Amino acid sequence: MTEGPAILFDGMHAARRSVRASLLPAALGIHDEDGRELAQWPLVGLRIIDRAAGSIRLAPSAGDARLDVSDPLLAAALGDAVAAMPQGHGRWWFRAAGLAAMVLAGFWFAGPLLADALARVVPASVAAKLGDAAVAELVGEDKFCTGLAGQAAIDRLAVTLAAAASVPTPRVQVIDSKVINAFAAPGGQVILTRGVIAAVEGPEGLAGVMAHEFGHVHEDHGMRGVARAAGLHLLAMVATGNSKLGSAGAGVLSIANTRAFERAADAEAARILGNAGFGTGGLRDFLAGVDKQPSARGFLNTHPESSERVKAIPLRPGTKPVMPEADWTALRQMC
Amino acid sequence: MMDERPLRWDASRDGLVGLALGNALLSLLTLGTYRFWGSARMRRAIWSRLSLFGDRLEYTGTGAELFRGVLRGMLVLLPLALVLMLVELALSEGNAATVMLEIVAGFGLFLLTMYAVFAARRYLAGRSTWRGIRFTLAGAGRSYVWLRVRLALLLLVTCGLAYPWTVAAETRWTINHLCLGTEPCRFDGGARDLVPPFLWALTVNGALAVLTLGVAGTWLTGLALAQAPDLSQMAGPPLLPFALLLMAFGPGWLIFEAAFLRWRAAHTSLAGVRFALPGASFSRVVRLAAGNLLIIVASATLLAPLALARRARFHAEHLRCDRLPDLSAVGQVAAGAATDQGLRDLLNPDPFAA
Repeated sequence: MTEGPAILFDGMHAARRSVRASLLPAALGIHDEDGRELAQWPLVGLRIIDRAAGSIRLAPSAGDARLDVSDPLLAAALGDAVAAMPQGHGRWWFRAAGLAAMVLAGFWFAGPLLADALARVVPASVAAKLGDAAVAELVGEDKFCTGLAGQAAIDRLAVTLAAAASVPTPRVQVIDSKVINAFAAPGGQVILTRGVIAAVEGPEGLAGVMAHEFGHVHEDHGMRGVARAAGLHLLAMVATGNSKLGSAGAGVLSIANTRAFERAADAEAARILGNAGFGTGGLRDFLAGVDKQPSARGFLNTHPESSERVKAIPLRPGTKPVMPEADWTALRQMC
Repeated sequence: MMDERPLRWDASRDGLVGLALGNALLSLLTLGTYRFWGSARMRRAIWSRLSLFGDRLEYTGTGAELFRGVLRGMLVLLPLALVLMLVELALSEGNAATVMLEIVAGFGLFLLTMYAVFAARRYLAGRSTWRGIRFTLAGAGRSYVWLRVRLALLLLVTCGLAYPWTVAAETRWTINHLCLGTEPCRFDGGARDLVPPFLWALTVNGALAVLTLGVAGTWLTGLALAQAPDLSQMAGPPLLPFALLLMAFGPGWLIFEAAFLRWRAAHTSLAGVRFALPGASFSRVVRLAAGNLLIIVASATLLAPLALARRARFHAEHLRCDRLPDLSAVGQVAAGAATDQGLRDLLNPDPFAA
């Protein structure tokens, strides 16, 4: 039996009490200086509160009592004895990692479902305001193109595609920017750039790009994207206590979400083009060519690999022209 | 005679830098999630290196508690933020109702932040023990928040000149509500002693601001005249915010900080024992602040907990008391109302707080 002097704090008063501590087969025995037993703390559940060179502070499984042992031999023996006991709760890092993984998994699977449910109950007026704010952000310093004949051509194409998509006709506007991009905002408005009109090889390509954006509108990706991104940043705040690293992680996960939406919008585009009687070749050609365009960087950042997308869209010829030649000419000159 | 040392730092135990680096690495690997557990381990390590009247302090909080605190904080903040966002979206921009809503929301956020500061302090006190006896921060949260509202209004109407009085009132409230078990701490300091260092701090910062404006203004004007005449307009406006920033946060405040630390210690007592911090000279406080700033900036805040350790060590080295008290009769108190620091972590009023 190893024993030695120790200081007992009973957890009820701040008095220091000099005692003798002894390591028993299954317990830590504590006696006063006259040899009377004061307590026996079972080794199972005994907690090492602090351990320094030659000393140890121990506590029973519950309560505020503490025992300070400064005798190096006894401290070492007690430390080894406690370490040899089965621990009820496993290692702290294992528990921490498990908890973090549970929270992350919960948000990863339940988060999108909750966000989508929330997006569905957001009033249309609120979604439209969010859309206006997103469009204002995207347009920035650029001007809207105002060519009347071109806008009329776009509007006619929008009516046809909206009927094929089974959505109310979105407002489609063109901005005077050479950047190749297209965007469906929350609330169902669509923005095209002059750059994207220049990059498509003909009316069929433009119909493909618009069908893709109408696919976003049909699936309410704008509002769902906002709700999911907000949810991810919320997750980052919760899981990381508002650290910047968490926000960066949320940004990366947001892109993963965005890419899933893009794939879904491609599938929708193929369906819409089919319903409208337009071919899918124009969209496939646009996607195949967009990789090579340096001004499409913003578009590529948030979209999956173009080659993969082209493969996912079935090649189908159209049964009728998308628009008369005069409309196409007006549209290309509207900015 | 103030020649007893109530607080000591165990310099024989190293490993704090390794612990801070390990915590930083694990926080990076887990995108920050580990920081709750890292923060608890760091506090345990720092507390265990501090001895009060010969016995080691102990931190009993856990990472899981800090994590749960943030979850609870979210339950408060999320519905509020959501309702506010939807109401703001429903109102049109710039009208009176929106402006009113923004004012009310701002005031609400202030109240919540002040409560968060109180709750975090009460949590920290309740998780700090000495000889197995818990510290507590008594008093109601609403009483602290109400005090902070009054002090903020006072600062507002006096354009900041009442700062020494607000600092004194806040310190008085906090220390007079702090107890070691059943033994309350006492504080009897008044604001008058803080006025001279406050005026010195303002003078030094003001002089620095004027100097900066003068030197940089002259340099920019010279540059502008040499290159393009219209650049001369740049000398005024961009420098003005910098000068104001210097007034608000300039190094002159360290004069005030040193005086404040000495004043706080000199007016605090526990069980009739009086304290003093005579070593908190201006030069030492400058060294402490500069070292901490260097650690925080050079490590991109990853090693910020080491700054807390340096502050603890500074107090341990320089705090004195008139005698060593017999605190044997001090009794334990119930664990008290459950508070946590989750709201403070989320609202982040002091990003470098432990």
